[in-house]
Amino acid sequence: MAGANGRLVKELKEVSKNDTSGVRAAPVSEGNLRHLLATVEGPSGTVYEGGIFEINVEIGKQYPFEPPKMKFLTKIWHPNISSQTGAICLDILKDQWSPALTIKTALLSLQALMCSPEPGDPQDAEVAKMYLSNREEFDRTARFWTESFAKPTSKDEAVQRVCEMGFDEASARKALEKHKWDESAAVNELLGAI
Amino acid sequence: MSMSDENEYYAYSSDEDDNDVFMSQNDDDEDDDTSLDPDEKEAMALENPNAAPVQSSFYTAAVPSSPTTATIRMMKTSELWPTLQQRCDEVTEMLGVSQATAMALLQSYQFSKERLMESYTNDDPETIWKRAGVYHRCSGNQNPEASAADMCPICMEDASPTSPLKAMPCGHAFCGDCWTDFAVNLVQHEGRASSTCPHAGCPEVVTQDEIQPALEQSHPNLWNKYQQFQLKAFVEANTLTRWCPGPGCERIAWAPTASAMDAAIGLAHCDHCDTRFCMMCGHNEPHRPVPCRSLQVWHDKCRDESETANWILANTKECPSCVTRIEKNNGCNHMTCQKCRHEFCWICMGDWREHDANTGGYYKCNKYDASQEGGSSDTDAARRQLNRYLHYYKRYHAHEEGQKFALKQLRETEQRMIQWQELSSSKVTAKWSDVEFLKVANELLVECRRVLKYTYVYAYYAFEHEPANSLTRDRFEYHQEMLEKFTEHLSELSEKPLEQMNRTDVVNQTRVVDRFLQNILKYVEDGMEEAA
Ligand SMILES: [Zn+2]
Ligand SMILES: [Zn+2]
Ligand SMILES: [Zn+2]
Ligand SMILES: [Zn+2]
Ligand SMILES: [Zn+2]
Ligand SMILES: [Zn+2]
Ligand SMILES: [Zn+2]
Repeated sequence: MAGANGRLVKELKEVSKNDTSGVRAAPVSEGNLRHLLATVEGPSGTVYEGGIFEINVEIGKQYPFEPPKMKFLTKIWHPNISSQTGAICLDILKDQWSPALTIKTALLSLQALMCSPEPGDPQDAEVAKMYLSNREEFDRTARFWTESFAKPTSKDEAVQRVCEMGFDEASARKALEKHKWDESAAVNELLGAI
Repeated sequence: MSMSDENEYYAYSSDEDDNDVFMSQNDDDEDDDTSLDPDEKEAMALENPNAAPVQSSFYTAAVPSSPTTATIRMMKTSELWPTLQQRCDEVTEMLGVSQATAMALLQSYQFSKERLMESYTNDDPETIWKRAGVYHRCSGNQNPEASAADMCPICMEDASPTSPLKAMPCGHAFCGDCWTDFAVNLVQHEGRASSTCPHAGCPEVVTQDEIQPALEQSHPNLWNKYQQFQLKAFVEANTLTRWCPGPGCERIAWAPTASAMDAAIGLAHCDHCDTRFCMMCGHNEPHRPVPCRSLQVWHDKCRDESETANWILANTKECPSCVTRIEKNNGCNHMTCQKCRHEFCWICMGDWREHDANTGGYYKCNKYDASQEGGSSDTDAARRQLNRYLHYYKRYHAHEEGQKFALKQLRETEQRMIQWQELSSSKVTAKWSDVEFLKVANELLVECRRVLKYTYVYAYYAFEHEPANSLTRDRFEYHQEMLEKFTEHLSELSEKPLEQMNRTDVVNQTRVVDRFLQNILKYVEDGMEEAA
């Protein structure tokens, strides 16, 4: 689209600012404005509070006449987000997208979705079922996932624990990142490499 | 409607006359000749004024053409466009709204002017406007928060005297370049004409009033395509219009009234691609006597059962006597094994002698006999159901193959007639008119195979719960049996080499078969209530 790049530059300037919105995005690599890494802070008062959630953002050729493609990289326990793949079910990322919306408004909508899940239109049936039938267990699981996967400190602690098993910090971090911070998978790989 | 369907209907051909349809609308006659393929032209040129009258009369009786299909017309898109325009004009006049508004209103009432007008007399106009997405367009109220914008929310550039913002009736405004990008994306990438305001969550619809200035000058081909999409919505919503299902064909069948459609039993014939089809369901050939709904269910069932059915069909192509594998390469179901000379019926694999009229009960083969299958467990019931389906499916399939073969033969006969004509000279003229009777026989065979095929679909559903001794079913099967028997016979006669063919036999047999064809159709369509 003509002028789409000009708009993208403006959008990125706006969304990379360190403001109080709790959402941010920046290009993964310099020179490619169409592949971004975004972060959303877990809204306070929710089971996601204190977590920083990473989201992969891809901007297609027809943007802004087609929605940006977004996917959670950080594992999250939420009825409208796949606990396996991070795929998101949100109307404005699908048919309710409008060219007058922006990457920032989309990220803010994600934050709003974290505040108020819509179990009637689930992406992850198992999570939605738990949300509706056993709210306590849902809250406990979601908090546990936030603690385990979305806390910056939790990552350092995980690296620490893997190091204690006799691996150096660099390879411990690398293996953990590769396995999305699944400790046993990372340790298995490190053991296999010996 | 799914994307794949759209592609099927809207595969844009390079058909030169259809591309600029909306620019010149008075080219009605120009391709009436070019629409015929060379074969058809030749065939027409060959028409023999001295042909025996008996041939032409039974031929016209076999194919319900002139009186019925005459009321259903095939149109080019350019011919139907004025109909849509006129309907918009009428709404414009009656309601005092713009053309664009009229189009949006009609669209939300499946293009039925009557239903729109009825709604206007019963409902609150604001409710109607909101439902059709023309509330702001009709009421003149703008969104107060929208009017003060000085930046285009799509490209995020400030408005300037050289690039002013252009607002929708709702007040949401965008710059000219972004309107063009929006319209290009809508038509080219999303492949549709309908959309709501580019502002998030605004229900006001975008109409030709916004699209035309955005596309007409810069992308005339896409502006054309936009109008095609409008017409497409009209054709698909309208029960009296249907796209020709012929591959790549863009003609539209049009019936003036519902009663005209009924009178033609929904049969349409496309003069552009020579496809005959059912206007009511779009099936690509006439399917009397099966109703559209049953045919749909049948096709779904065949898709589900195709594995089982194919296995059975593939495994029954052996001579029942010597187990030599036999290729069925003609349309006749009377098989003779080349190896052991055993004669048998392709459909039931039974001895052909038991199919003889003289041995009492010729074609027992068309009757499904449930009594032979006992057992009352669920498995037995399931097996019975499958066997019942296979009984009908095998016969349906056999006639479908027979239809293909008859069609191939028809093409060969036509080819032969053309060759003879090309040899010209008076003495061969006698020869090709001699073979006209064969063409007529072949045409009728195609028709009979097709109808027989659908009689099995019909019977599968019509007699599902009929008791074994049902009189209606007996009568139906009697008619079916007669048609089948004489079709087989005609098939056999007409498959002989030309030198061995008995012209009088074929002509007589053709007439008889046509009678049986009309009989079964009439029997079903009269509600199966005739006297024996
Ligand atoms: Zn703009
Ligand atoms: Zn609007
Ligand atoms: Zn056609
Ligand atoms: Zn039909
Ligand atoms: Zn044999
Ligand atoms: Zn035969
Ligand atoms: Zn048989």
